Formats: sequence, structure tokens, C-alpha cells
Amino acid sequence: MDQQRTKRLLDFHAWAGVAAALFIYVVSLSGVFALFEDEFLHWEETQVQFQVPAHPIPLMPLLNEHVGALTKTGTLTSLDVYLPSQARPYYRAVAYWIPAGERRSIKQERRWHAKTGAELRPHEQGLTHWLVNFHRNLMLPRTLGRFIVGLSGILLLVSILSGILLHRKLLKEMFTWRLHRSIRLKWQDSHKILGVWSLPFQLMIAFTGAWLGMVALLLPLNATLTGKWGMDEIYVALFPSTPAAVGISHPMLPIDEVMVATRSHFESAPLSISITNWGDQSASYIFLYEPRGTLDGTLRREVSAVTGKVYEAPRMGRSAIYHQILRSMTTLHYGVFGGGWMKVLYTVLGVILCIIAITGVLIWLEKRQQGGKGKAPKVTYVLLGRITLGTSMGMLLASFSLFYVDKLSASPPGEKLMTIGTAYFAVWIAALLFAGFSRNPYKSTKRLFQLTGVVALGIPVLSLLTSPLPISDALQRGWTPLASVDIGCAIVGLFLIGVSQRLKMHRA
Amino acid sequence: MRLFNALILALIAAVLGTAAFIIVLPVDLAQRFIWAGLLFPLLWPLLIFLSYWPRRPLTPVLVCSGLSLVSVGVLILG
Repeated sequence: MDQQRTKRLLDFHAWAGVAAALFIYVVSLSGVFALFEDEFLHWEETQVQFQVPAHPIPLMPLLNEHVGALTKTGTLTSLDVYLPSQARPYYRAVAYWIPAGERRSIKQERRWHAKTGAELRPHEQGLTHWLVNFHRNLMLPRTLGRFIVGLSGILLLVSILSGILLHRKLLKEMFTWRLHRSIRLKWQDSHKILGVWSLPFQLMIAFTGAWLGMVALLLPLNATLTGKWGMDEIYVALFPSTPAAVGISHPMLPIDEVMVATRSHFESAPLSISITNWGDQSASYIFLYEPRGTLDGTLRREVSAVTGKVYEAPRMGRSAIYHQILRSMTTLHYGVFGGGWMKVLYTVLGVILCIIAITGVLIWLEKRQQGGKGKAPKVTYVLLGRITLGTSMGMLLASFSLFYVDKLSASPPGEKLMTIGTAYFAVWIAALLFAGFSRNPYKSTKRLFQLTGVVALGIPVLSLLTSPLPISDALQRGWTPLASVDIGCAIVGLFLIGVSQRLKMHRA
Repeated sequence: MRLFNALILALIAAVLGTAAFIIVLPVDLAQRFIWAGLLFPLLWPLLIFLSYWPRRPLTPVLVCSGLSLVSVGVLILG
């Protein structure tokens, strides 16, 4: 590659990286939190912190009562039932139902205790909803938010592409980490070594993220540009549904008996059941399984809800390779194909992406502040450095602070999410101001690390103090999703405090 | 010129190119939209990157404009 091109690519990589780094950091860090949706939900909601019973209560009477109530006053369009799991140890039914005289369907959700069958109180969205949806759509209107988040995937792909072509001594760079040399070399080597080792993951997460973000906007845009097909026609082609009801009423086989009878046909217990055409001769139960060891996100088996016959091929034509590719996008992006350890691996790799983004900015600033590069006044670079510190550490601090806000705030019903959001940005802005106005950036970095560490370390204590159980009983509950969150936060807290101990108060 | 190409022309070319791809792909309707959806997140960064690769700044502009024009042609005629 000629020298001019190398310089041009280097500048492009640096500027594109600097312009996008904080954005990529925000999406990536929020993505790390979004991985633990189930665990956070369990931690957040005290009324569901019980074990899955060995013999859950039969589901069919609950569903009969639920469907009966819905069909009395409207038409049921779809019904999905989520079976008890460790993180969500209750039955959850999500129905779409059109009230009589209306045209649009309404979502109705009900939950029942898996042991007693008692209906659980509706859960008001709070901590988990914020942490997960901040990653999915930045809490903006869905399509716009997802597009903006998808944009970070595009920017990451551009940075990776230019990075690969710039660093052609990849093998050498994989094993060069000079931690005892200058600050710039330390950051430069960290940026390269982490980037090279995690390259396949970063490429995958950038591409799947870009696709997941863009697809909702791209579909109608393409439909409009091509002008040949209507959106309804495209939706029917993309998402074929089960055959329509034939209009002949027929009693449904009890779902619990069908599950027991068909267990020998299937590999494991299903996660959820999609029930189609309830009460019709064409009704069926579609069992959906966890995609362990496969990228196909929805392993499904269909059984007639009238005869109990297992359909060898699903009646819904979604098994073609391109449908499997579509489903694998979400599976790959959230790492749900590999269980708990895959989540840990994704967390580490997500944090690595955050470090790559921040070290990229720090290298850029260091070259300008200390290396004489750049024409802007020095104060500009100092300010940029502080914004980087405040944004990155502030977001981490704000995310952990939400656990306290969720448990301790007494917001009126319906306003919990608003309280959570206000607290999130208040903490984040406070950290930005602290980093911005502090005289010594090294000291403020150390302090922010310490504070975030202490806040994370305090989460298990908060959990114990707010538990409805006596502390001695709460400590003896064994390994639960609640314990995973508590222990995970404690480990992160200790790690951050450990890092803060190694940080110096002044430039070495 | 390169920045303009990376920010504006690359996006236009990627959007139009993807739509044209849907028209010319000789498969069923679902597959057309699925493959085009997968193409877009690859094509857009590639075109942004392409803005800085050629020696002459005009080359990427010509590539993106050419792709856009051909795509518009396909969309109109298809």
C-alpha cells in the first residue's frame, strides 16, 4: 500500500473512530447490561423470587379461564404461553385480543404462580426495562431508536474494516503488549491486541447489530422504493402464519397432557407454547425450545391441539435457510445459543469493545496533547478527554445506581420508569460535570472508578436489606438468578476498586 | 469531496442499490427482501470505506453516483 493511502486510511480510521467511539461505547456497554434481562427482572421483582416447583400446577384450567374471559367480550387473535423457568418461575400468557366493536388488537398479559396458581400482580416496568431498552432503542420511538443503534453497528464495521487494512502485521500485533513503556504505547498496544483477538466477535456483533437496527426501517423503505409490492403482501411472504381457522368448534386437548404425551418425541422441555386457532378444529400447540447448541433461534414442534398428532414438518413454512439466517441474527447477537457461560463470554467481549473504543479516543488525544499533532488549542483536547472520561465512567455509574433507585425510590404508580430515567441521566450528567470541572483528570478518573466500584459492591447488600426474607434465610437460598446478579455486581465492584488502586493520581 | 461521498453519496447508493437488488434477484418475494436486508449493512460500510481507498477523490464519487444511477434505472424499468 502506498504511503499516501496509508496516511489517508490512518486519518480516516482515527477520525471515524473518534467521532463514533463514545456512541459505540454507549451502545456496547448498554448491550452488556441487556444480556442479563432475565436475571435483572428476577432481581427487580420481589414477588417472583421463588423456586420453580418440581410439579407445577396444571396450566389448562388457568388458560381455559383466561381464554373464556377474553372470548366473552371479543376475539382472540393469538396466544403465547411462557412456561416457568428459573429466572421467571411463573406461567405467563400473552394474548392479542380484539374487543367487540373495535378493529385493533390489544395486548393482554397475565401471570400465575407456578405452584399455587394465584395470579401475580402486574409488574411495573423499571430497572430492567430501562437497561434493556436503552440498548435496543435508546428509549426513543422504536423504529427511530433502533435505526440509531443500528448506525453504531455500521460505524463499527467501517472502523473494523479500516483497522484491518491498516494493521497488516496482525500476527505480530497479537503478541505485542508493552505495558511498561510510555502511556501512548500502552494504550496503542492494548487497542491493537484487544482488537485483533476479539475481531471475529466484533465483526459478528457489528453486523448483526446493524441488521437488527436497520431492518425495521429498511423494509418499508425498500417496499416504497421498489413500488411493486404492498407491505401486507411482503409481511405475509416473510412471516407466513399457520393455516386459518376452519370455523368448526372442537374442544381442546389439555395442554398438560399433550406436553407429557409428546415429551418422548422432543429433546427437552419447551420454553413457551404458541397456541393457534383456540377452540377450532385446526387448533395447534407449537412448542418452542431453547436454541442450545444451535443458532436457529426458535426450534419448534407443532402438535394438533385436537388430535394430539405431532406434525413431522411444521405447517408454518419458516424452515428455509433464509428464515434460519434471520432467526440466527438475534440468537448470535444476544448469545442465547450457549447458556450462562456464553453470557459471561459475551460480557467480557462486550467490555473489550468498550475498552477498544475508549483507548482509541485516548490514543488520538495523547497524540495531540503530548505528541504535537493537531492544530486545535490544547484546551480543546483537555475538554474532549474529560468528556470521554465523564461519558464512559458516568454511564457505568448511572447503570449501577439504577439498582438503588429501583429498590429505594417511592415513585407513584405509573411513574417508576420516569423516575428511573431521570435518575439515570442525573447521575450521568453529575459524573460528566465532576470529570469536566475537576482540576486533576487522573484524580477524577481514580475517584470515579472507586465510586462506581463501591456502588456496584453495595448492590448485594441492598438486595439483602430489601429482601422480604430474613437475612439468614436469604443467604441460604443457594444459586438463584438473584444470587447471579448480586455476585456479578460484587465481582465487578471489586474489579473496579482493584483497578482504581492501580491508577495514579498524576501522569507518570 | 471524500467526506461528502462518505456521508451522503454512500448512503444514497447503498439504499438505492439495495432496492434495485430486490428487483433483479430471481427468487421469491420473501427471499428478495431477506437477502437485500442482509446486503445493506455490508454495502453501506463498504461504500463509506471506499470513499477513502482510491487515490483520486473523484473515483468514489463516480462509483457511488454510477451505482445510484444504475439502481434508479433498474427501479424505473423493473
